[in-house]
Order: sequence, then C-alpha cells, then structure tokens
Amino acid sequence: MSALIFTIVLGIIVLYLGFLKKKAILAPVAIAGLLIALFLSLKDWGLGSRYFHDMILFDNFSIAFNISMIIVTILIFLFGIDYYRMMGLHVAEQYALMIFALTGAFLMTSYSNLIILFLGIEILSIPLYVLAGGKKASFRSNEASFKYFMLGSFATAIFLFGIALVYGASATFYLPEIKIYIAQFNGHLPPMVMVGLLFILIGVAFKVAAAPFHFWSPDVYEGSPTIVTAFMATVVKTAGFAAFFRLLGMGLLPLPAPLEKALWVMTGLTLLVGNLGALKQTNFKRLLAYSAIAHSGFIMLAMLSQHSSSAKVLLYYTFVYSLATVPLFIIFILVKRASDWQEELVNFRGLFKEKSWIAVCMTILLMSLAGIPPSSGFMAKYQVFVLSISQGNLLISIFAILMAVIGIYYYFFVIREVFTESKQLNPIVVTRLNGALIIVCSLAVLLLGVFVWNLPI
Amino acid sequence: MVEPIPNINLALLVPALPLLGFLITGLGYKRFKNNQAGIIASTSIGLSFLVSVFLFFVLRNSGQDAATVTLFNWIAVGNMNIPFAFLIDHLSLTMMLIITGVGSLIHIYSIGYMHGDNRINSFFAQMNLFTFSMLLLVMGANYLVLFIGWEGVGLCSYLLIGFWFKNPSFNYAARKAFIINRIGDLGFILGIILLFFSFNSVSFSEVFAQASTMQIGTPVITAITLLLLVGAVGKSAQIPLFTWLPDAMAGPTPVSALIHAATMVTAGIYMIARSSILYNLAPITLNVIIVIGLSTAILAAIIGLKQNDIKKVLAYSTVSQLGYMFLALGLGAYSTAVFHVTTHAFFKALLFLGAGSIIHAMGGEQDIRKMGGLRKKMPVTYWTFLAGTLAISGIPPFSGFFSKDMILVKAFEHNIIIYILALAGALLTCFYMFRLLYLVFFREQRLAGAHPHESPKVMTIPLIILGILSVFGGFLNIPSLFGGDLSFSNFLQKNVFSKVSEEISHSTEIGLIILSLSLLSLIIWLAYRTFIRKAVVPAADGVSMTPIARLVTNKFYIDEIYTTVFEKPFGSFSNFLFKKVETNILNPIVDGVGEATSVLGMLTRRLQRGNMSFYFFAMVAGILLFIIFILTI
Repeated sequence: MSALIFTIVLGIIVLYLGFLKKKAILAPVAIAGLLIALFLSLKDWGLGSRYFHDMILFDNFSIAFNISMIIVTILIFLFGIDYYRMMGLHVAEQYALMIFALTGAFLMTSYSNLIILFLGIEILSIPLYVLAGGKKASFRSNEASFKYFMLGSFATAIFLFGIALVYGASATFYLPEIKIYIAQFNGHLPPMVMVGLLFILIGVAFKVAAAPFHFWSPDVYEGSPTIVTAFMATVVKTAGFAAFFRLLGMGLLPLPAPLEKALWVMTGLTLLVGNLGALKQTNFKRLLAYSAIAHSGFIMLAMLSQHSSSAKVLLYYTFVYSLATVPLFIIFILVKRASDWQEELVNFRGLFKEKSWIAVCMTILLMSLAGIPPSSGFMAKYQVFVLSISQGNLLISIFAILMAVIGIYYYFFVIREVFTESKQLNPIVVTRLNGALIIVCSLAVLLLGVFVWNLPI
Repeated sequence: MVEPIPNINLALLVPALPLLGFLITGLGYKRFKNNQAGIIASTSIGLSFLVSVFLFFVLRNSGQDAATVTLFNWIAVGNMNIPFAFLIDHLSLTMMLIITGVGSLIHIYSIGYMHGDNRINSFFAQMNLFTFSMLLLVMGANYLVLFIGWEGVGLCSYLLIGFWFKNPSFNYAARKAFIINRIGDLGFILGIILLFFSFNSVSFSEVFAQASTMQIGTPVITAITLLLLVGAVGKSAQIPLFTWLPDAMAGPTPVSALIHAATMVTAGIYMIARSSILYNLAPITLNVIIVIGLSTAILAAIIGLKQNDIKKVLAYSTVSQLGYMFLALGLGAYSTAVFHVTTHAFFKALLFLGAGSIIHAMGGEQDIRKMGGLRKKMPVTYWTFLAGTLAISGIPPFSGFFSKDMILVKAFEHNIIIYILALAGALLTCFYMFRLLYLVFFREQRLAGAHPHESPKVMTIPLIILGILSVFGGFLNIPSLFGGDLSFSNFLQKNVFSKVSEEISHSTEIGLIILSLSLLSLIIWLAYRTFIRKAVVPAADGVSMTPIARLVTNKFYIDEIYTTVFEKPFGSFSNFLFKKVETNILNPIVDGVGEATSVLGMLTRRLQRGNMSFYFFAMVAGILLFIIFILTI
C-alpha cells in the first residue's frame, strides 16, 4: 500500500517539477522514486495486507507483478532520458502520466473487488489516451489518441454493464462472494449472470488486445509516440493479464463451461489474428503490435490451463516478453533517427554493417520473441506448452505451436533485413545509456533463459 | 558395496587430457608454428599414457577387478537412467594402454612425418579428438557411452582419411568409409535399443548380471548379439563390409597406423569381448562369427598376394588379421582375441610406420615395384620392418607367433577343417609379407632419380620402440608349454568370460607348432626364390594375366559388385525420389502451405484498414456472437 501511495505522490512531484523547468532532473527523480517504490513493494512481501474493507489485497501475486512492472517502467524511463532530449514539449506531464498509469496498474494487480478493478482500468487508461496523443503536431498521434479513446470508452461501457449485471444478480462486487454465488448454480448459470460475466471478461480482453477486440492496437501502437508504445506493449499488457488472471483465480474458477469455451475461442482467434496479421507487415511498430497480440494468445493459453504454476508461468512470460520488447523499441528509434524518420522494416538494412553489436543484440531479442532456445522466450513458450499439454488441452496446444512456427517467419524476416547489406542514410548514434540498456536487456534475456526458470510467487 | 579405490578417479584424466589437447590445438590452429601443435598433442597423449599406467597399478594393488567412475548422471527420463560413467577393469585398461601407448608413439612419429604440411595443426587436433573418442569407446561403462566413442572415432576416421581433401578420390574414400560404417552403426544402435528393451538398462554390469541367469540360445540374445555383430563387422572391416579399409589408406600413413591398424578397427573385437557373456549365450552368433572371420582372413590374404601398393598390402593384411581375431572370438577364446589385438597393435603399427618411413624417403612413392634396395640406405627402417614382418608371419619368438599360434590351436581343438583353413591363411600372410619385404628392401633400386635416406630420429625412435614391442610383446602371454603361465589371459579372465579353456595338451601343441613352422619356412624360401633369386617383379598394370590372377588383382571385383548391386539401384531410387516425388509432389505441397499462409496474412491485414466504424462493427459483432455462443451452447 505504501508503494501505491508513494507512487501517486511521485507522480505529483514530477508534474510540479515540470513547472520549475527542470527538465534534466525529471527522469532521475522519477527513476529514484520508482526505486523507492520497488523497495516499499518488497517490504510488503509475504504480508498479504488488506485495505478498504478487503477491497484491495496485496498478496505475493500482486507484489511480484508490481515489481516486474516497476522494473520495466524504470527501463522505459531510462530510455526516456534520450528520447525526450530529442523531442521536448511537456516532458514532465508525460512522465507523470506514465507514473499515474502505473498506479492504475498496481490497482489492477491487487484488487479483490470489481469496483477497484474498474477504477484501476480507468486510472490506467485515461493517462494512456492522453499519452497516445503526446505528439501534438502529429496527425497519426492524434488519430491514435482519438481511436484509443473511442474504442476504449466503448469497452469500458461494456465492462461496466457487465459489472452491473453481475451485481444485479448477486448483489456483491466482492470476488470471493461472487465465486460462492456462481458455485451454487453448479455450472448452469442464469443468462443474466452469464452475460454479465462475459461482458466483464470482454472488458479485460480489450485491454490485453485479445481478438476480436484487438482492432485498436495496431493503429494505436503505430500512431503513439514510441516510448508510449513501449509502455503499452509491456506494462499495460502485464497489468491487463495480471487483472485477467486474478479475475479468473479469485472469482470465476472453475469457469462455467460456456464461458470457458468462449475464452478458448478467443485464445484461438487471438493466436490466429496476431500471427497472420504480422506476417505481411512492413512497418516495424505495427509488426510489434501484431506480435503483441500473438503473445497475448500464448499468455491466454497459460492462463486458461488452470494449474498451481500458471501464475508463475504468466509472470515469467510477461516479464521476459517486456524485457525483449523495450530494447527493440530503443533500437527502432535509433534506426528511425538514422533513416530520416522512416519506420519501415527495410530501414533496418545495413544495421549489421553499421553497428554489428546492435544487430547481434537485436537478433537475440527477436529470437527470444520467436521462442528460439536458449533465449528466455523459448523457456517461456516451452513452459506454456508444457502447462497446457499437461492440462489436457492438446488440440489448442498443437494449434499454438503451429502459430509459433508462423511467428518465426516474421521475426526472422526482420533479422534477415538486419543482416542484409545496404548503406544506412545516416550513421547510427547511440548514447552510452541506450547502449548499456540494449546490452543489459539482451544479456538478461539470454541468462534468464538459461538459469532462471522458476520465479517465486 | 565395494570399497572405493583411492585415486581411481584419476581415470577421468585419461580421456580428459586428449580432449584438452584437442581443444588447445583445435582452437588455436591458426596460431601454432612448426611443431608446437605436434608437441602439445603428443604430450597430452603421453601424459594420458602415464596416468593409464598408474591406474593399472592402482587397480592391481586394490585387489578388486573393476571400478566404476561416474562423471555425472547423463540421461534420466522415465525409467531410463543412464549415467555418464567409465568402467575401469582389466579389459579396458589393456585397451587404454594400447591406445595411449601406441598412440603417443604414433603422435611423436607424426611430428616428423607431417612436418611441412600446411594443415599440420588441424591434423594433430583431429588425432587428439580421435584418441579421446577411442578412449570413451573402451572406457564407457555402458553401451551408450561406448556408442558415443564409436561414432566419434567414425567421424575422426572420416576426417583423417579425407585429410588431403583436395584430392577427389581421397574424399571419395573418406565418404566410402563413413557410409559403410553407417551400415554397421545402424545394426549396432538397433542392437543397443533391443538390449535396452530386453534388460531395461544399457549398463554393462546390469545387463551382464541379468544375462548370466538366462538360458543358452535365448532368441532375443541371439538377435541382440547378431545386431551388435553387424556394428562390429562394419567397424572392424569384415566380410561383407570390409571394402572401405583398403581405400582408407588415402589418409596420411600415421592415421593408417593409429586408426586403421592399431586401434579403431579393433573396436568391434573389443565390443564383442566386452559382451562375452551375451555371446556365450548365443552359439548361432558365434558360428556366424567363425564363418565371417575365417573367410575374411583368407579372402583378404589372397587379395594381399597381388597388391602392389605398399599400404594396400598392409591394409589387406590388417583385414586378414582382424579376421583371425574374429575367428578367435567365434571360438569363444575372447582373451586370445584381445591378445592378438595387442600384438597386432604393436607389429601392424610398426609396419605402417615403417611403410610411412619408406614413402617419406621415396618422396611419396607407394608402388613396391618401383622400390628395392632400401636395406642399405634405411637400416633402421629395414631392421624394424623385418621384426614386424617376422612377427606378423608368426615366427617364434616374435609376438605374433604367440597370439596367432594360440588362435590356431583353438581352431584345431574346435574343428580340424577350420584349423587347416586358418593355417593356410597364415601361410599366405607369410608369403605376401616376405614378398613385400624382398621387393622393397632387397636387390637394386628400381626407381631412377630417387635418393632414399633414413628418416629423422623423431620417426625412427618410435619405430625402434615398436620394434622392441613386436619382438618381445608375445612374452606377455607365454603358454605353459614354454614354462609361462598365460599371464595376459589370466589377467583378462576376471572381466572377459572365455568359453574355452586357454590350455591344451602339450604334445598336440608341439606337433602343431612344428607343422606350422616347417610350412612357414617353406613359404619364406619360396618367396626368397621368387623375388630374390629369380628377381621377379610383379607385372605392370594392364599386362595380360591369367583369369585367376586378374580376379585376384581386381580384388574379386567386390567393389564393382557392390556398385552394381547396391550403389546404382540405390542411386537411381534416390534420383527418383528427388526428381519425381520431391519436385512434383512434396515441393508443391510445402510451397502451397507457405503461399496459403501468406494469403491469409494479407487478408488479415486487410481487415485493419483504419476505419473506426468498421472496428466498432467488428467488436459489436464479436460481442453478439459470443453472447449467442454462451447462451446456446
């Protein structure tokens, strides 16, 4: 709880630092504050503290996810030092909004009441609508912001409607009570509850960009400022899945059969749309958007394979996925600057010749996303498949493996471009900090795959 | 539980040192100058030899017969539990001493022989890798570790036969060796799999413990032993898989000495001796081994009569001697077979190195018709070569006499016909070896312009040491007839379970020895009359010959038969698969899957056109469909 409160205060501090025109100290203050939040979170480990009449529960699950998200946010802020040096307006607001969004994410991992989940999603989303339009002069950025807001509000409405229906039937927002309420029907729920639960699930599915509620994500990912895209692809996705998992684990398991089937259909669709959609992309950000959808499909596979280790697999998967995604966006920005602000895949040509170490790191990161051993992405996918096969979901697992094979094609398409010989327009300039970030993340992606397969939750 | 033997874990060093040598010479192959790589490689094998000697005494003083050294638990899946372990017993120690002892001499010799070759560093790296694999093969405590070594030596053999890869025919020879060995390996791995299914283990100790309670003639044991035999036949170049070994002479001569005479080709014999308990349960397999061994021994000896390439003569003689070892195995005299492996390692390595010395001196010439008169110019080579020739011919008291005589005596006890055939083969051996000796070292030099000279000390000293071993190596296993106590056989008896006693009546033995000695003297005299007195030089290629001579000169057309019967039909079948099945059926299917996926990708991409009302439409449609789905299902 102290971490949550501290993070809110940190957001306000950063916002006010903006008025003081102290641009240089923004990132250091934000990062230092996040480190303190990290420390405060660690202090709560194992306590299982409850707040506001049990509406919030900080158990180990939520603390582990919070820590993972704080670490990724720190990585993004470190990237921000260079990013915002180049494009300057309203930097303090952007940092502050991301910190506020992070507090929403904290709520999403620790709720035990649907109202808090709703609050968390909204606190996360509203700053993002603004952040997506962060480049005021850019038409695409404004478009992204508008689309995200429109579609997001629609999803929120559905979600809220779902909560209302469930409350109407069960007269409670408290997940454990909803669980008891559902259990009494022995799987044969009245239509109102069924539809209510479906709407809640759709609301969360929208956040993690599960098909067919994924349409916002390619457009928004492409149009948003890259640092915001990185934040959305990592922190927001992690928060969405933590919320999704908690919803199932605390309230809905064992899922009524029709809902479970609906979620399986969603998983299959997500895998299909993500991987097929990525296949023919030429824009790197869009490619990563579809790749994010595809990864959502794999994560849903782990989530629906109910087992005591599902949470661990979920945490490992989201963390190593974020760890590979953030540096890819950094490399993308570096290449974009060197090729007259082009975002196409062909702009990666000649990267190996220009900066071979970046090309090697990028290969490692993409291989991790594709799931090639010995990277951690392989271990993550491997765990997902083992989990889902051990739970008897054989057909969907085979389907997911096929989709992973398709995935290899488009990741290696990028790798091929990286190693294709061609002259870059301008030399690629890498600040020392960015270089260190890329290398550290690449090494972590490799080492986590070799040494750490088991995260403690 | 037996007491662990102190210091036995040093056994890990025996394969580790050559591996280290391989890593150093292999990784640094661009850096080493002159003889550095050779010195590193030889040192690693030499140290390995010293450790093996030390282990020999450790095991002897411990009073135990065997020790297992486990490195790590290798495979643990389900009920399969296979440790990566080494078995140190008398049999493996014998092989280790041969491999590292003879191996280090050959390595030292190679420093001189390969001097000036521009890939000398790679050569030593591969030789070290070979030694490492061979040690794994003989030290493994289960069939799987043995199999790693088995495949490793096959790979190194391939690499080293094709060492001078710029010559296409050498590459062909390397491929041939590899492919024929694969045929054997297939049988071998099937044997191991069947073994695992029957015994639920591949470890020697467990398999043999279970097997010792089984009935003689159990069908599954016969099947296992026959399959393992296929592997041994391939590796040890027996009929019908022997044709690769003569071609393997394309490799540098030290390779022929180490791999294709002293060590690798005896792996099959080692494996069968190691599995003696299983083979004792399968009389059918033993009879098959007798037939294979005996016919190989004689066929190869006959072909050897008409060969004119010094290394080819030795190669066929190796095939023939391996046949004798197989004969001994088939007779159930496993210790005798291993004893012949030992003496053969000494004298055949010596002969090959001697041949290398001659080739070196003749500037690469290998045709014995062009040599002659080298006795005076290369005295060390001559005297050591003579020792090797006497040893292989079985003249007492040279080492080959003891081992070969024991095989003949065993054959006599078993069946008089086998004895007569085996003796005939021995006489042929004697003839072609003395033919070789006389043609190379006596009379006058026939190649004009060559100036043969004695090889440098780094080459002659290994020759001398091997010469001494060839002369006295037989004393390891003196039969009681000569007042000995068969110490070598008794040493092995703890770990190898021979079917027949190693002893026979003295009067019979004396009779047999006198018979073979008189016949051998006759043969030597015959060879002397032909090649010294009459100064016959084998006819040049292409001169018309009698049909039988032509048949022998052309190696009974076995290669041609294999080409026609196997290679060509197989080649046209793979051509059919490639040109018809793959091009017309498989490729379109595979490409089609890719194309279809691409098209689906394009379609999925088209869904996303940036039109927000369509997004709303799709989402609402999704929601409605899901509602219908959950309410109707």
